[in-house]
Amino acid sequence: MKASCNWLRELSRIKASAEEIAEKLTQAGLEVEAIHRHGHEIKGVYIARVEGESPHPEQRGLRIVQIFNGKERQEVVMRSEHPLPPNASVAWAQPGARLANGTEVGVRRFGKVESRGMILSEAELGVSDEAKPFVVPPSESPPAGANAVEALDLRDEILDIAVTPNRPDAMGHLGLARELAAIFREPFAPRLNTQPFGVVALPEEIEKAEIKRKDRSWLLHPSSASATTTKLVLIQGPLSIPIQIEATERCSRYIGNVVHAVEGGPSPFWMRYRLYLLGQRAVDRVVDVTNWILFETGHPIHAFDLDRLAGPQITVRLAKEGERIVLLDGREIALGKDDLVIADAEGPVALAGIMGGKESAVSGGTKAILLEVAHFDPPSIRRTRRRHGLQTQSSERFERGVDAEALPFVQRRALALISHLGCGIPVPFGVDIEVRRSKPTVIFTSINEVRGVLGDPSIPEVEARRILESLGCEMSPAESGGWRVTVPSHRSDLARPEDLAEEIARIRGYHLIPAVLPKIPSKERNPRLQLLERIRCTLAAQGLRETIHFAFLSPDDLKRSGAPKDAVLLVNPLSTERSVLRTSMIPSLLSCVQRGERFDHPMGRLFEIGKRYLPAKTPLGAIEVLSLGIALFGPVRDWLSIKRHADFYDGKWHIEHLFRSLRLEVEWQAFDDTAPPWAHPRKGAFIQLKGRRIGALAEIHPDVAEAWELSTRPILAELELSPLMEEALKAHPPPIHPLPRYPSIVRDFAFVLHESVSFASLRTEIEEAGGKLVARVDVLDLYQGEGIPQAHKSMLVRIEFRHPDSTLTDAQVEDLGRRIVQRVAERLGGTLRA
Amino acid sequence: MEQAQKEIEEALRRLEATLPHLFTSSRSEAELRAENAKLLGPEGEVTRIFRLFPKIEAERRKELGKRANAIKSAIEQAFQQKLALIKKAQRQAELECPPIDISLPGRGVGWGSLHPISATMAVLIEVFESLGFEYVEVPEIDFAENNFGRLAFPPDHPAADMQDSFFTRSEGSGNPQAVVLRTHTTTVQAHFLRSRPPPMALVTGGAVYRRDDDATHSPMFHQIDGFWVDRDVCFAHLHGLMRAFVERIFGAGVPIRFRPSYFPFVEPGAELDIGCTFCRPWERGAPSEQCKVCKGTGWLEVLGCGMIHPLVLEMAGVSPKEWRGIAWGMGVDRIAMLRYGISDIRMLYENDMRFLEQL
Repeated sequence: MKASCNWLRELSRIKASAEEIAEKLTQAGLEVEAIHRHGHEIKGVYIARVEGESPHPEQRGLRIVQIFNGKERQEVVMRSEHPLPPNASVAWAQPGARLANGTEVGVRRFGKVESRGMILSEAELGVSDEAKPFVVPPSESPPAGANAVEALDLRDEILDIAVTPNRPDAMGHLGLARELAAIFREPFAPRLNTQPFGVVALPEEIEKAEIKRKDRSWLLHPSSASATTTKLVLIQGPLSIPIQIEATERCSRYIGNVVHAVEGGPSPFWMRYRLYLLGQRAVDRVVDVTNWILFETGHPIHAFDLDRLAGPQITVRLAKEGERIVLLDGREIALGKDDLVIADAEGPVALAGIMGGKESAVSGGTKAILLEVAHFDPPSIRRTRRRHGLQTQSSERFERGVDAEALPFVQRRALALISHLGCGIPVPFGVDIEVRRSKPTVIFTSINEVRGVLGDPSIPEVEARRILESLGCEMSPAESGGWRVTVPSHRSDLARPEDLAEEIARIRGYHLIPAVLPKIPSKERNPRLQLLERIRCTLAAQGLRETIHFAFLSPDDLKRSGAPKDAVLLVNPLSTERSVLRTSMIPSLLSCVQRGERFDHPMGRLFEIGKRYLPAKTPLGAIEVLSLGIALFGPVRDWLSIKRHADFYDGKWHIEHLFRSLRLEVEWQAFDDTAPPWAHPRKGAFIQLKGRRIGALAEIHPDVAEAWELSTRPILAELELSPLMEEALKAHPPPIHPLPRYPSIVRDFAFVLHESVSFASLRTEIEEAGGKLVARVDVLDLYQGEGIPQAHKSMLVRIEFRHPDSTLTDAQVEDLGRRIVQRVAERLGGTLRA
Repeated sequence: MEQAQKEIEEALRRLEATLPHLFTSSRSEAELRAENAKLLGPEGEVTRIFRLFPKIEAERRKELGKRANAIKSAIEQAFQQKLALIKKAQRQAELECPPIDISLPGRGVGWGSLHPISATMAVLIEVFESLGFEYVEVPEIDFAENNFGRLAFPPDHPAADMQDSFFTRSEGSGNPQAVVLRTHTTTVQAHFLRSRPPPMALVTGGAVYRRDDDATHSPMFHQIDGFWVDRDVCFAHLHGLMRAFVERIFGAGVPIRFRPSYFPFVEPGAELDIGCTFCRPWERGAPSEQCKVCKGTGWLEVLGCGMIHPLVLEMAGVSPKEWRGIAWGMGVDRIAMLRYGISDIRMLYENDMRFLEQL
């Protein structure tokens, strides 16, 4: 909502600076987001009278204009495309003047002619966007030599106010002025003329109607009185138009007035200028009045060209399927059965409350109008304007809900303005169809309740009452004690005692409410949250970087990642790229890997803790699975060791480290024939916890890598976190054994084995052969290549022997070694490497 | 006997002559020990002399023995002195090695990091936990009724339509707007006010979704919501709670201000601003006109709050006559962006390695 500070000052009679007004409104909940200042920059611009003009002797397209600036005559050179009427009053910028856009005016030479200052265009004066010279009609002009800024009252400040949806009353200057008066503790009594004049007699009785038309000084505000003259005008045409409300649910009241003897033409400057500052282009007097009323009262009204309406009546009804309308802006739209329209005998003439039709629009040739002042149902307006992608000043206000009780006032005010501006002769008795009227809201509360809600026992009752009254509430004592508060119709958002408490708090200032720290008994921290935090920190300490991805992605991302394709679909996605909820952490991580490779960053160690979403036969249609994803890609960062890429065993370290930190034991289960589709079937394993499969770790499947156009082969892991967390919450610290009392003896063995023999089976055989005396088996080296037979490997293991109750002798160890080598040979076909 | 005596005397003389420059040529511990062994070792010269003693006359034995012992102890002393010298020189040499290149990177698994959002979320939640709030989890996919209706959004509210919120296809219900990706974490009220008897003080946090996508809006972002319902809760408590929260998160002395505002689920409702933590107007006396963070206003909007609307309590079966509540909700992304100085919200979700490696 844009608001003019001048207008607010006129209506509220608060003399405060724009900054002060902005600050107070913001503090009261009407947030002022910006202040735009107009006219303050302009210096050295005066009203001048055009006395004559001649073509430039040398340069075509230029004219020399003689002006009188109140003191002396000057010659000014200007371009000739816009002729100036003789005796026109113009805005003349003297040399050294400063314009609205900050430019400085100097003396310029055009050939032989020296131009003293310049005649300003409307845009240069900052009164419209047009390039034509600013001209004041001579009859309404201030005298030559007057300071233009002062004489034209150009200084104003426009506020951008973010009006919250509960405050339709603040969508007009009147409502804002009422608010300001309450904040500044001033009585609110705006002087607005609501007396249309124009006596209309029926043509049968007398031939001519006698009309009093106010002849106004064009600079004066419409609220100020001035001399009147009398004029007689002949009226032909209907005095009223029958109105029928069919869609009674959507329109509670409709007032239609006929205005005759409409004279178009430009509005007075003060009206055009203020409309311009509020972002509304001035068009024609009648249209400008409807816009003025909208900004003044916050109530949108509409004018139809009476001669363009097909009689005999107009109807407020729902559109019929297939009906179409061409709107004011030239767009043609197809209407649906949920669209509320104003229709004449031939069809829709306006999209109710949103935009009028082009066909019935007021134009230069309009002789009579039907002025609509109505109340439309907010949800209906909202649905229609959303459906058709229209947002207008009018729809914005109807959508929030205008004050239905104010309709007669708005009607009188509009007709008064029309008659006072001399742009038409209203028939004062309109057709007023009221379908329903809501009862005023009454709230019972008391100062103690207000104090209790706000927690401020010191609020004076007098002040609280004064605030409510200043906002338009009627206060009377309730029978039960306390207050009986009748809420004004323009504040339909007030319905409960809490609402009134807020009004009192916000007008007083929220900063006056004391601060009391709540005393809430402390509780145990949520163990799951703490655990999740620990997991995150553990993974980060492992050198993994946490990522957070969008929950939605494209179906193609699922497909090419080998993730489950049966996903939860969005009904209204922003794009197909983000149309399904992820069923797996893998695509998110792969998008990261891909991005890394594309942006010359082909290495990373990543994890994400988040949800996967799986379709389910539940009322919600989905379940959320808290999951962990890990991706390792690119070389291992080490400046001394051999260069290699991350492999399965790097991933295995991360998983085992995590499990160990949670005091859990991870179980690895070979894929066999059931690997996840994203996993290389031979280079990965399932992750199990207490016999339950909770995830997998593997190198990427080459097909998936190709589908993502990856040059590396990332190591990926995905696992469910909830089972892990459940077990972790039950886990205990491991029991600690006493330290061994006897020394151990260490022996290394290099076994040559078939490549299919696993370390686990070798260890098992060693432990079987050595029994309790084998304390530990470690791998020291794994080698394949020269010196080792085809399809074989050499595995160097270190075995630690220890007897619990005595020191082992060399002979005992020799014997154990022999038994182990023999068993490995028998069971695994392994030999000691020569 | 004569022979042996002669031999001893000769050896003693020779040894006595060498004593002054004993071990001078030994450069290392090994050399020293070898030299020493030549004298005192099992086959050493001195040892050999002692072996000859039984063969000489008793009256000479005493005198020669004395001389031999003196030589032996002199050698031992010289050995110890030289050994100490060599060890000292060795230690000196060890300490005077060329310095290592401390600029080479450390070896290991490299650096990991927490995402700014989860790190910020943890800090925020911890503050509220310490103030007595219990963390609870709430689903992301929820009934629209929990997201809107039970939070007193009027029917037909624009937030509840296809333009602003994401809906998911669910089986069974024919209504395409029955299930929503929650648009705020305020759903915690809809869930827990119904399932737990008051009093309660709860906080939750997580991802929320809205149909916006530009430099300042992400279709997914994060929020924290909390509320406290008890007898005699009032706005003054909200004031106290927010003061404590701002002090803990942004530091003591940061001013706050409540601005009246509107959310369907609170009444009275407010927005909380804190003094701009970048240009710090309360320290300089005025906001900086050039401050890009607060745009010269001196204030930053951090959260929405208020007293729980009586309708919300009523719909959950909690009597507003008996119980009142305060509630607040805030965007985590924005606070994370303030903490890390991130200007474009999209950076938080692109997961670019060049971004992550700065953390």
